[in-house]
This record gives sequence, structure tokens and C-alpha cells, in this order.
Amino acid sequence: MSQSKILLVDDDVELLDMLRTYLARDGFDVIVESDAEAGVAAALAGDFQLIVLDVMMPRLSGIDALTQIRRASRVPVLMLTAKGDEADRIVGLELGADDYVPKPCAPRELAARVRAILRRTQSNETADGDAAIETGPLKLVPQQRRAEWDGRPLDLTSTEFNLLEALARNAGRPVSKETLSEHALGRPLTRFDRSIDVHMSSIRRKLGTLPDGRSWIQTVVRQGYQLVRE
Amino acid sequence: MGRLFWKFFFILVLAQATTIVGVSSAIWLRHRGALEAPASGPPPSAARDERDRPPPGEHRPGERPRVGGPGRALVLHFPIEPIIGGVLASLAVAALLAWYVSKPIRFLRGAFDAAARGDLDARIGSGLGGRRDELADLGRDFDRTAAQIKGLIEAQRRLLHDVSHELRSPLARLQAAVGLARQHPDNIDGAMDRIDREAERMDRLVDEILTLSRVESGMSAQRNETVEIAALVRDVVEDATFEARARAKAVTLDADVAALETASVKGNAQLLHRALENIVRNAMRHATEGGKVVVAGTGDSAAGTLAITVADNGPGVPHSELGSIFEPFFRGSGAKDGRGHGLGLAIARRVIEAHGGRVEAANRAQGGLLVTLRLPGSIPS
Repeated sequence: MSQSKILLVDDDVELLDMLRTYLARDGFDVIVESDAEAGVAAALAGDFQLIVLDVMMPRLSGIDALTQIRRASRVPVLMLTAKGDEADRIVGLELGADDYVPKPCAPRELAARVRAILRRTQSNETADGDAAIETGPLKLVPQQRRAEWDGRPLDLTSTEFNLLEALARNAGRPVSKETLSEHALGRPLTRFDRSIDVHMSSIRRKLGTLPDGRSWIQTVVRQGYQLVRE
Repeated sequence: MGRLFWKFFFILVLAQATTIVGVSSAIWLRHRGALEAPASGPPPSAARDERDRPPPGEHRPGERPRVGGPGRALVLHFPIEPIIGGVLASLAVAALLAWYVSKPIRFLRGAFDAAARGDLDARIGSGLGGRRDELADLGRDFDRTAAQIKGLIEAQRRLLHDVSHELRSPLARLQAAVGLARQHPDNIDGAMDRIDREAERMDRLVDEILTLSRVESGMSAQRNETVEIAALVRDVVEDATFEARARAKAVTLDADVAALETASVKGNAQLLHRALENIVRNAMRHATEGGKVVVAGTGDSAAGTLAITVADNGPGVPHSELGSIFEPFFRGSGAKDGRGHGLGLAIARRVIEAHGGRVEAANRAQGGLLVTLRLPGSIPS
């Protein structure tokens, strides 16, 4: 596998320098930006496989940067959020970040998360079942990571695509949050982790509703989520 | 109804009942005197007078029984109806008064109870109606107290949030350094240096936070020393010059404190030194390479105030941020290096204010920031 090209955006120049060294030694091709605006420009200009974005930056905040990136690109985004700052985390996920890492964290943890997301977003090329999955109005083409709803293209982030794929493969049956977390984020579900729920509500917004007004994705208490099969 | 209501109620009823019984007995006794008059001999005109002034009630002189023995007249004459009427009226008045006093107190209690439960948004406000008495004053005092406490708690909470946030950056760098050392043990010296540096940073941050909180709580504001201002300024400038040379940043530092040669301020020398030092350091940091920082002093011996100005030739501060640069952890949009915590100027302001002075910041017409410290002091001419 060729080196994955990732972009690190953080206002702490010294930390950035150390993380770049660490990740480069770990086999990544790392570009760094210490300014959010320059980071957004670089993210939209370059062909990065992943962007690591610090939420707490002066001037343009990481959240605003994320909004700007998402307006034009579906590149996977990993957020660095303050430990214990639930609000930032939820907002970030709602705006289309794929996952988050609390800061401060060990660089090993960051590298592991980066690798997990890269694996999830690139694995489908070689994964089983290259055939398109069709259930109800939904059509997923894993090979091209393309999704359609009623014949119209669906704009999904990588994580959202992975989640929907997991649900579609098991349409009509509930899929546990643990399975979803492993499949979409490449990590076990931690306690009090609401990431999956936030991603699910984003997907729900993008899908239509059933004729009776219910959502296509049903919450099954204590079991997880289920895609309704017609 | 609470206890207070019943206490007031019973005291008032008791007082009024005593009065009624006392007054009624007095009137009854006089009436008895009037009845017995024809037999014992006081002039009839006097009896007539008495009859013209009957006790309150519907006893008219005409209805007074004229027949029967003195004993029967005596019983009939005891004014039962006025007493009952009076008692009923006094009950009503007592209830009204007790209610008038106890109701606002119950209302106040509700607010205090809410505050005790942690709801500092509870306010008396206009809950006491249009009263203008001590109870209404108490309500207003409560409102003021609650608002004040709420403000303090919010400031503390913000500070705590900022502190934990500020400690995160050195911690993240420390963890990164440890990670690097683990990854490549051959470069352990470089990593150790870094870890040292981050530990020092955290130490400094904790020290600054403690200073800030000490000044805030007013503990160090005991004004017991006489501080020679000119010497203090020269000290600070000397240290800063030395530091600038060590950092190899070419900044010239000028001090012009001739006007303050005899001036002194009552206060804490160490804290004043620190306040001025923080401001001068800030100016040096923002001065351009090869730039100049000027510290100057002026005094007004008549008003008993002195001013120290620190001017740099840096980029200045955007107008919208001028008011905020003395807030803890405020970092302007111009702050690029991660060295400051945004605590230096906050400490400076607290110290100056604890000494009864003021700090102001303004952009200079020719560029750069001008910080002015004003302190009350004695300047013998």
C-alpha cells in the first residue's frame, strides 16, 4: 500500500512538529498547517486521504473549518477535541466529522485512529461483495462508494456510507451499536459514546421518511439500529 | 399558613381582646354607677349624661330596661354584643395584619430556598408588589446578593474551564514527546529536553494562576510597604533588557522616570514589580525586531496620582480587542507564539486595581500599543 497522505491542522506549532515526525516515522505522508484558513485551503486543494483537525483554534475555529471543508469535500475528517467537551464533539460529528480523538492523547492513539479510519474508508475496494446492494429505494455501490436514494445520488461522508452499508446488508434486522462502531469507525464502542447516534441522525436527515412518516432507520431499544425493509 | 402567621395572629388577637375586655369593663362599671345613681343620690343630670354616651353597639338609652331589680339590670347591661362585634373585628384585623407581614417573608423564604438549592437565578423582583418598606429592601438586597454570587461563580467556572484548557496544550506536547521517545529511543535526549520544557511551562502556568487567584481574593493587597516607584521601574527595565539580550531580540528599552524620582506608592512591592514586569514583557514581545519600548513616568503631586506608560512599536491591538486584553486567558488575534497564557496582563490589572489604581490600553497614532498605569501615591515636590 502506498503511503497515505494526511493533513494535520493545529495551531500549536511545536505539537504539530512532533506529531508530524511521529506519524512520518509511522509510515504516513504528513503535511501540516498551523492556520485554520490555510488548512481549509490545503484540504480542498490536495488529495488527502484523511484530515486531522484541531477544534480549538484561534481565529477560524476547527468547527468553522470543518463546515467549509464539508461544503466542498467528503474527505474523512478526524477531529481533535478537548477532553470532556461533549458539545464540541457532538457539533463536530453533526457537521460531518468522521470521528474524534480527545486531546491531549498519546501519539500512538492518534496514529491508531488514523489508521482505523483509513482502513474503513479504503477497504471496500478489496472487500467481499463488490456487487451493488439494493434495498427499498436505497442503492449502494461499495466499490465506487456511491449511494443512491430513489435514483438520486446521496451525499454521504465515508463513515455515514459505512454505517448505511452495514445496515443495508442486514436490512430488516437490527445491527448492534458495537458492530456499527467496529465497522464504520474501526474501533470498539466506548461507554457513553454517542458518536453512532449522532451519525445515525445525520443519515436519517439525508434519507426520506416512510409513507407513514416514520424514519427508514429505526432505533431498536438495547439492540441498535435497523433499516426498514419494504 | 406558617408559624409566623399564627404567632402574629395570636399576639394581635390577644392584645385586642385585652383592650376590648378592659374598655368594656370600664364602660360597664360606669354604667352600673349610673344605674345605681337614683338610689344613692348623684344628680340626675349626671346620669343623663352617661346615658347620652352609651357604649358602642346598638344599646339605645330607650331600650334600657327600667324595671326589675338592680341585679337583673346589671347582667343585662354587660355589653355582650359590642364585645362579640369587637372580637370579630379584631380577629379580622389580626388575620389581615399577620398575613400582611408573613406573606412577603414566605415569599422571601421561597427565594432563599431556591438559592440554597443552587438556583441563583431566583429573584424577588416585583414579587413583593409595590411595597416600599424594610421587607421590600430586604428583597432588593437578596436580588443584589444573588446576582453578585452568580457573577462570581460564573467567573470562577470560566477560570477553571480556561485553566484546564490551558494545561491541555503542554500536556499534549508532553505526551507527544513521550511518544516520540518511545518510537525512537536513540533520540531520547531531545525528547527529555522537551519534556523538561513542558513541565516548566505547566509549573509557570500554575504559579501564575495562583498569583491571580491570590490577588483576586485580596490577600496580598495589604498596603504596608512604601514602594519607591522610580527604583522599581529601573529594576524592571534592567531585567527586561537583560532578558531581551539573552533572547537575541534587538529591542531597545528606554526608561524616563525622572518625574517620579521622589514618588512612592503604598502597597506590595513584589506584586507591583510583577505587574509592571508583565506589561513591559508583553510590550517587548510585541515590539518589532529592532524596535523600541519606552517606559515613562509622570506625576501629579497636587492630585496625588502618578502614571507610568509603556509604549511599544508593534502592530497594536485591534480596536474591538482593546477592552479584553486584560481578561484572563484572553489571547488576541495577533498572538502567534504559544508562549503566553494570557495571564500576565490580567495579573497586572488585578494588582494595580488592588492598589486603588487603573490600567488602560490604547493604540498609538504612530503604531504600537500604549499601556498606562495610574496609581495613587505621594509625590513630594
